[in-house]
Amino acid sequence: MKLRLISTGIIMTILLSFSCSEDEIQINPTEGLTKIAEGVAVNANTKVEVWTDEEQLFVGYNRLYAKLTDATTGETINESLVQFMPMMSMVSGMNHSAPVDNPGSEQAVNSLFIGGVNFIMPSGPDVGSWKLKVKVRNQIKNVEDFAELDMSVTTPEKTRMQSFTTEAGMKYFVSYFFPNKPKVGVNDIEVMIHTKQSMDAFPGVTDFTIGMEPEMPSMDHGSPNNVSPTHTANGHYAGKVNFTMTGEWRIHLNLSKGELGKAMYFDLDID
Amino acid sequence: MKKISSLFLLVLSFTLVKAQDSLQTLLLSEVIIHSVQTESDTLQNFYRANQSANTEDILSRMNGVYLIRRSAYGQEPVIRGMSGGQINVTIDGMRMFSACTDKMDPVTIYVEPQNLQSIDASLGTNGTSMGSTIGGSLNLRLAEPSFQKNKIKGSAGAGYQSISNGTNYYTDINFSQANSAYRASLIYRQNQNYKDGNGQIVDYSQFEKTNFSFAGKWRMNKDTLKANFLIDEGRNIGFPALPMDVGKARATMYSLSFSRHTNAGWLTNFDAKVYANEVYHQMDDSQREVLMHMDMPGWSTTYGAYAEAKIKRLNNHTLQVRSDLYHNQLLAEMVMYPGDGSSMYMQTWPDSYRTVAGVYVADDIRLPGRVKMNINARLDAANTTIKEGFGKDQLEVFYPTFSSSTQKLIKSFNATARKPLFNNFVVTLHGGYGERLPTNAELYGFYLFNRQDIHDYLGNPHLNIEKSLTSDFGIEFFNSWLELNGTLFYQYNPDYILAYVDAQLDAMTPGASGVKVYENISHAQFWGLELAALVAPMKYIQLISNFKGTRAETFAGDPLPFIPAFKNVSTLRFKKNVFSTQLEWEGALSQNHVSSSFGEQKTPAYSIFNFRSGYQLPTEKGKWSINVGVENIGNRYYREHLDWGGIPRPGRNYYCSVDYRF
Repeated sequence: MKLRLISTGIIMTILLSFSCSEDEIQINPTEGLTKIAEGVAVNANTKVEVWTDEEQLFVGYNRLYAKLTDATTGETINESLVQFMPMMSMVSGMNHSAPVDNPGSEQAVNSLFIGGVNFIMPSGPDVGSWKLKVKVRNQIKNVEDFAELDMSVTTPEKTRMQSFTTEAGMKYFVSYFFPNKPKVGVNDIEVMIHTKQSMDAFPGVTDFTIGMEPEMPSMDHGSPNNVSPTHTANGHYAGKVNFTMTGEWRIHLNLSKGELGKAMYFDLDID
Repeated sequence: MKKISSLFLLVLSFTLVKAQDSLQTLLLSEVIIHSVQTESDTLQNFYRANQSANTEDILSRMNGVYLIRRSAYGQEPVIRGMSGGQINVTIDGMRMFSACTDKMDPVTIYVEPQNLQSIDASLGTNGTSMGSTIGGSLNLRLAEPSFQKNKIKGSAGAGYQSISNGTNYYTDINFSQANSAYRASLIYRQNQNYKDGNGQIVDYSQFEKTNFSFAGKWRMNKDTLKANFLIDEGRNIGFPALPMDVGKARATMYSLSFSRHTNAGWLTNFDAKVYANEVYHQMDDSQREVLMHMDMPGWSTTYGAYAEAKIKRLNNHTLQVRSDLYHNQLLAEMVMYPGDGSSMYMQTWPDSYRTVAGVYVADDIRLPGRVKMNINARLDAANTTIKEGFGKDQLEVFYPTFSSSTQKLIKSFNATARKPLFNNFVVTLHGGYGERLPTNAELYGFYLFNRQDIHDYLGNPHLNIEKSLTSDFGIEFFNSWLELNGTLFYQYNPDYILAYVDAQLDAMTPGASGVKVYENISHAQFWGLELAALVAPMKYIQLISNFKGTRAETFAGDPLPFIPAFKNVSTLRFKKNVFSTQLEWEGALSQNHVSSSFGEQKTPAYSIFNFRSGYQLPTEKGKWSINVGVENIGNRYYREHLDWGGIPRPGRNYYCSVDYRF
């Protein structure tokens, strides 16, 4: 018993010393993220860095994190307008944008402004190049300007975005995104549906009904108690998907909207 | 049935007094296995009929004890129809838990007759001295080094079984000095696939194992210190009734114990022990033709300690107190390898642990009219925790809000009265109440495939403790040449844990037809009897017979699965001087009271005969003994009801063994 008390004491001391040291070290806001590009919005005197969750941008929904600093002093800027404006210049000469989520607030969260872009095609010498304009505002000078950044977008090994065109000529883009890295267990999932209104406008579609069913193709079984995504805002549909083991999973989606029905699936690896 | 329960509100008392003579031994549920010097010939030969018999063969002949058989080796003990978490299996008082999710390694396999001293069995709720239980308990006491006149004593032997082309070799040695003694034993067994009564080879029935133990004992005045180490490793153990085999099963046990025997003060005996044991179990299917190969390793580690004391008789009371503590950690994994694509991993027993601390008090009371009473009670405090992380995340898919730790108090209470009647009878009544914790497999098990009913099993973290009210009525008769003993029992188990199909869930295992989830049902009930007879009409001839049977059903009257058929084993033994022969009859009634929802099939009655003989040759320094015999003489094709998958038992087996004791 005495031994136990002593060892408990030692463990407590260790824990306390750890928590103390944690207080002293500032948590790096970009820990675990990858910097994609940086540039300066000259008139706003603001340096813009863009970070993302994975090692590179891919065709599909990418969460983007903008970190702003004063170009002169290097001080972090926590209040600013931030807008992402992706633009694809195709080899064919056509230009178009992509579905975008801009940060919901002009206040940074842990020094970052968080939004997202659904890159609907890759970049490359045969297809074209992506640029991302990031518009910022200098709060003191009240001057808006943007930084223009080159983006390299790859085709992922497993498809993460699919598009289809209806008979009426409407084009939809369907992508998905996990707010936290997917794991075995219960996972939040978001499915995004956007449509193409013009070359520059890809608004979210809010009135789809989604049926979702995960499956392990090699095992021929699924998982129970999934929650099919329902619309939250701006074409985002939130639900829960359950994985009962690691390995290759397939998420089946059944999209319907009035007369329109579309089935598709996404494959992914859970580890 | 409820009427009957009130009638039989009481069982056999299991006074764990060592038998003074062989006749008495039968009355007690204790089997002395290996006391080399004071071998009680008759019963020793009944229980351990064949010198190559392993621990489970001995268990199968004990009253009230049965075995679930999925393989030639690695059979799971059942007491009166209850098994797994319902019964308590301890090794020398140590708690130890299997590491196999498919119950391939009941801890009884990790002990060999060569390192066993005795097996104590208690039936029903009365066996709580080592831990809470509702079905009964088995304690396998390990052989100890002994202090002897001869400095070195020992034995060595070898045996052969024709049916499986099996060989076994064993040796033990005892080294003793004035105040210290040491004992070591080594056993090796190897068996190939056996043949059934139709001469067909039963595939995947092979096994191989090695067992080594070492013990030291030191005495200082009234104190004794003991240290024990045992390692058992099984390899390539086939499971014909299951889709997988055992690649490797390794158990190690360590213990250090102290005892003091004194007449001074209020204590008479004091014993304390600290121990640790570890089981690593590896299921594999590398020898099977399957669509997808998988590995299923499991780990079980237990640490524990206990102290027990006997308090000097005061007036008519003799008090015994024990307090114990154990901590068990379990993890089992499954990795599947599809032909192409990445491997798949899950935790079939999520990483979890359980800590239980308990107190047990027993009082032996002498009452007027030669009535002896035993009253005992146990209280355990238990904490069960599933660790945060992978295993818990998995289970949250089914139980989004379950809490990772549960605390329970487990209570039991028993009273037994024994009264001699006339000159030749003893009547025993027992009534008791017991509780048991759900096992970690029942709480957290994850898609455990059951080949018998072709379902995947899912744990339920919301399970409640299972309870039991037990009553036994026993009567014994004895005279100079005959001893008869009969017990009737009835058990009423509220919150009985049983698995039912959840139609909402999809099976995971390819080929499985659904998923079953454990639940507490309103209650189940068990009743049955055990009869034993020992007849010794002449000095050279003895007849021993025991008959046992259980019936069990749910509250709704559905038969419970895995309830053994009524079974008899009778032995007629003739022994004169150095020569002995033994004729055995073993038979069971058919079992038609089966649970089809658990994939059970009806089992026909069977009857087989065995013949055994032995010859002893004393020499100047030691004694040779030669045993030969034949089992299943008629080469019958048969199986017992608890044999899974309709796998038949071995056909005619000729065996012989030679050993030398010095």
